[in-house]
Amino acid sequence: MVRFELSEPKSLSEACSLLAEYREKAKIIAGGQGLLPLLNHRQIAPNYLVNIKGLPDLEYIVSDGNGHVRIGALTTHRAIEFSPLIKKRYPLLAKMEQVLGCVQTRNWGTIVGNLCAASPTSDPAPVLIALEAIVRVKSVRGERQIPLNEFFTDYLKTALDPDEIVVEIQIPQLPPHTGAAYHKECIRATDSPIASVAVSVTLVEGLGTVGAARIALQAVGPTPLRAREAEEMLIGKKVQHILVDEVAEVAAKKACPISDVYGSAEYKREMVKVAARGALIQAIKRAHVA
Amino acid sequence: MLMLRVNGEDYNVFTEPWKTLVRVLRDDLGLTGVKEGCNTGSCGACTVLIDGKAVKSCLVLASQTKGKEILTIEGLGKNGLHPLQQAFVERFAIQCGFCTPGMILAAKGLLDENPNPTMEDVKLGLSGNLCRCTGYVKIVEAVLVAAEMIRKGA
Amino acid sequence: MAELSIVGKDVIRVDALEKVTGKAKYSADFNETRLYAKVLRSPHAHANIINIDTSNAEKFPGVRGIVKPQDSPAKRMGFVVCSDRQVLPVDGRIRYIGEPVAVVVADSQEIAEEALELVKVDYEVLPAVFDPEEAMRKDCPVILHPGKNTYGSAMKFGPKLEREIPNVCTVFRIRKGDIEKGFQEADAIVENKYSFDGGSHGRMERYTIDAWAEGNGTLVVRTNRHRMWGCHGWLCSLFGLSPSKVRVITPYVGGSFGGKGSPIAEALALLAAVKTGKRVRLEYTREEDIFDTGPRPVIIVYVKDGVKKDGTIVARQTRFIINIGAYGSDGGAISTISCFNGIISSYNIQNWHSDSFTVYTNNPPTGTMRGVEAPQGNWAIESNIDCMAHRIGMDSLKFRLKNLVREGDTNTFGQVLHHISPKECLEKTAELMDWGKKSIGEGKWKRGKGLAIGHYRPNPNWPSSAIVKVFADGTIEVRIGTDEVGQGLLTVITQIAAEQFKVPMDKLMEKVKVVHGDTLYTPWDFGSGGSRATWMTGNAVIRACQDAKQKIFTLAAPKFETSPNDLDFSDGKVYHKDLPQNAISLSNFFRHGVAGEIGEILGIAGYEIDHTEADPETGYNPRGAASWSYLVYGVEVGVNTETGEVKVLRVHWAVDIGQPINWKMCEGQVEGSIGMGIACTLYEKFEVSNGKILNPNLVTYRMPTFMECPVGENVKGVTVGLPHPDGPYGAKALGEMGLVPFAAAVGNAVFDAIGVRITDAPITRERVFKALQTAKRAAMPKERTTARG
Repeated sequence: MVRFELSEPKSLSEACSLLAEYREKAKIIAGGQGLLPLLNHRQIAPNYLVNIKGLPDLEYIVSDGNGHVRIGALTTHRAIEFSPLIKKRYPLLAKMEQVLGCVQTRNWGTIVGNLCAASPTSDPAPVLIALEAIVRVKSVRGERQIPLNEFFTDYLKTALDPDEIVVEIQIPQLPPHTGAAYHKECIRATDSPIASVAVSVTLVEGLGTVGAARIALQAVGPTPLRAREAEEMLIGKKVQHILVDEVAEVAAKKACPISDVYGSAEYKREMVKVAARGALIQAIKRAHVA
Repeated sequence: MLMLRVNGEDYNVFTEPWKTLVRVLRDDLGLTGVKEGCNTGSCGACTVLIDGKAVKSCLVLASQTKGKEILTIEGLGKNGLHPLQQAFVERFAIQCGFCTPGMILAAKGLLDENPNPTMEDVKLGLSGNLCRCTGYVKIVEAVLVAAEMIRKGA
Repeated sequence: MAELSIVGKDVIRVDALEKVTGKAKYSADFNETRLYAKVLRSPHAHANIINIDTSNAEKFPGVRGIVKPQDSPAKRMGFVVCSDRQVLPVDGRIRYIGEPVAVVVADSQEIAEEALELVKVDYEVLPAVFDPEEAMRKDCPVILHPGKNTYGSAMKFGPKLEREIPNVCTVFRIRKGDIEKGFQEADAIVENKYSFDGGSHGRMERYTIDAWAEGNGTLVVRTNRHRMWGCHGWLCSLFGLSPSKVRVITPYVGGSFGGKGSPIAEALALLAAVKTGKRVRLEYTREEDIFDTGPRPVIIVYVKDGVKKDGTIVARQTRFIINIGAYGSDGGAISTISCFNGIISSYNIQNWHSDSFTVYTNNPPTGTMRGVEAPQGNWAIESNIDCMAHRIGMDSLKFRLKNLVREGDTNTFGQVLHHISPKECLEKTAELMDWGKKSIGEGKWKRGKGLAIGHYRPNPNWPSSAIVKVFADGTIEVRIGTDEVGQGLLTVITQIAAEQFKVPMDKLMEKVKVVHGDTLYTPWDFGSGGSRATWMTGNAVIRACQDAKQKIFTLAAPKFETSPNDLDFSDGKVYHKDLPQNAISLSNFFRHGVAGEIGEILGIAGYEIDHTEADPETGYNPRGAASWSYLVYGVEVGVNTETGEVKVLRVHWAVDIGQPINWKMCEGQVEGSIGMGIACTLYEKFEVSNGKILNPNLVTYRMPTFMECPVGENVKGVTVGLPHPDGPYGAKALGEMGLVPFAAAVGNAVFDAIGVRITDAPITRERVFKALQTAKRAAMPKERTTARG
């Protein structure tokens, strides 16, 4: 374990001031499910930990006047898993949480914390990208929004400046007849994926044609990868003309996996195809009943 | 100075800010029933209940648990064995016993939320807890038996 | 045999209550004032240590001492024929990544970890060798132990020390029959190369040792290992102390499954305690526990089998190459012979030649793991059995039955087999799993069924002893030097002692106590390991009970005016066998805790098996085992043809273990072995690169969870077979056997499902996927004959 100083700000603005002062020397800790293993094994060594777990008014899942759903930074995975609002509006998010890690992790860890850790195998990342979510970010300098599509910049790196803190996820209202799915291939059932794919498909023209599509690949690159060419293949296509295998092939071409302890690069690429196929078929099915 | 509420009692602990909950429970409060298996949150032997929810105490800073109710194995069965403890004993769900405290608390967390789990619910609900000795067969049996005992008002 | 009232019953484990309430104490649960030790480990696989500069570390606030190689005894520790390991590299040579170089002792773990980074070591990096087939070439330029032939040996039995080939540690040969003639008689030859990756024991409790020196100079370690007395002997030898000046304590142990061979960690902790004059805790991280407690080795097995059209196996040639890493003393050296313990007593094979080698490479040293590599031997052999059956178009159950040993047959090592029931195990398993009915899959999921048979014996090499004290109130206190590592030995011994003294079931916990885990109070026993404890310690306890009873009867005989042989004992009372109603309480023969001239009533006995050792040149071993147990697995799997994923759906099994002492605990041993089998066969493997294990953590060394294991009605087994006349109440060995035939059963089931033979274990999804791709590309018309003919 690393020895550090622990700061316990009483408010969000106090937290921001501390981050402005400590910058790279500090790490924010909320649930710490990603951070504690690294600290326990001395893989990172921050001088300061800024504990935001007890901050008020950051644990919520609400619907706002624009039809967006907003998730506060301290919302646990488990709260999302059981939230009636999430199950109604974005059932995929709740489903994804059911297979994220284990119950204990979900009881204490936060979805925002998971995103900020920027692990290339994070489950929420590709799903929220498919759902076109954004994060709202605060610092002493003010506020800004970052689409999740642009949030992950490199291996374990986000677009956040050292003095910034994510305060909220916002998910826009899905267009009617939008179905989303997340397929992950894992070695053990509750592992991080070898490869996973999140797909969102919107059907138009009486459910006969694809109006919009988003495909996000995960675990096969330093960050989540949008398979835009595969998306283009779908948009404007009649549903009965979709060749799922072909789309999956094209999506997999976007992957740039490395050989590691999860598998060889070749195998991961094959698993991306399996995951893309599975997610696409499921998303289209769901779009029909949405 | 840290004020903790563990097994229904209040404690004042003088400890360092980097101490995880498992370390404080074991070293400062002598609750050695809480085990430390891996420190990566992979084995579940350190599972305790925080405000009734199962959490891996090796992945929690002790400082973050101020004002919360913590339950360890020592807090269960103060007035006779809890049905889970009873079932684990009677169904031979214990061999080396090292995973047992964490397993029972994870199972309690599960049954408190879902009093009538299927076999698959139990398997998924306890998938964060490893056991090397039993192959899980008798543990699942014990949890289902305990669930029935609790439903019948044991 | 008389009707049993305690043995053979499902007695609740005597340690269950302590464990379920969190009161049971394990090594790390003792909270005395102490310092903390951390081991500095080499980053190089092969190097000379030029200099160790600890000056900055020594100045670091909170550091209390640093142990260096010059503080360590130079004596080499060993297991079987080659003593090759020093506690710290006194000879200045590092042989594996992670080898201990020094130990920092400080006020807290955090300080010790930080101070570790301040120790500066200068290494001269040497060329290394990692591949065993490269290392075992006579001209391999990298030699790990140039002084191997001069090391000497701890023990004189077992495989032979190899003197001619520099990097081969031990060799063992089987020369049975005429192999050329055998192959000439064959109608088909089936040749395959099998492999089994290395892996960790995965016990839930990490290696934790508290060490201190008492005021009178006695060195004490409290540790969590098996073979407490073995550790004691080594420590006495290392530190040059008499047995009464070293004390080893093992409280409840959170899983063993082998490993922790030579007591390097205990010795390091003691050196730290001696250096600082304080109690020191050495606690391995999970990473250290995974790679540095003697994990199981990578084994390559070449098998060439000859079979006739009618199904008779006529010849077998095998070659085992076992990569034991940098040292053999953690247990690796025995593997050359122990890998046969699950395959030599199954079939009648007249001609079998084999050469097995343990090879030194610059990898972390391996040790023994559940079965001592018999599971890996079985993986190769029982897979090839199915291959032979398939080749000649015979159902693999029929094939096994055709070649199976029967009562009175001779095994490969020349031992005549008695009191065995392998046929009943096969037939019962086949019945339970409905062998004749094909397993049907759906869509991309194919299903298959597979069988494999294995066996095991209680390790005969070392003796046991026991002391039994009988109190005036009839309480029985059994003292044993064998370890409770979770297998349930305390309960087994309680049941045996209770049966001997006819303690009623409802008084069991009150009237029978087992003292264990402390060399100060318990008599010598080799300990748990080799599935020997029930047989060896159990028999020693029976004899000690009989000795105690004899003393009681001698004491009481005058009062009954009869010969001691006419008396019996039950529930704390002595009586004449013909007049049980006239029983007299034992307390009547005591005055103030003294039973006349006898003093205390202590039964004392030793137990040894009269056995032979295998000839290392031929394998001949006519009395190598006191008994053989058998186990058959029938496994049903699902295979995802899109991803290669294999799921174990159902496991049926039958064991021949004589009289089970406690059937529920026996079930637990097999079920646990199934879990461990699923682990080794499908999920767990060390990813190794240039001597470095890349995944020594539980995130990427994937131990199966509940989700990966079948439970409930999907795991079912029975006992067949008869009590063995020499076993304690007829019991035979079990502990390790459950792991022996599991992998092959799964491999055979996978073949049944997809028609593809995987020869490398674990059968990972990627390996299956690649094999399916290869099979597709081969584009041969696939007329699949399944394993069931």
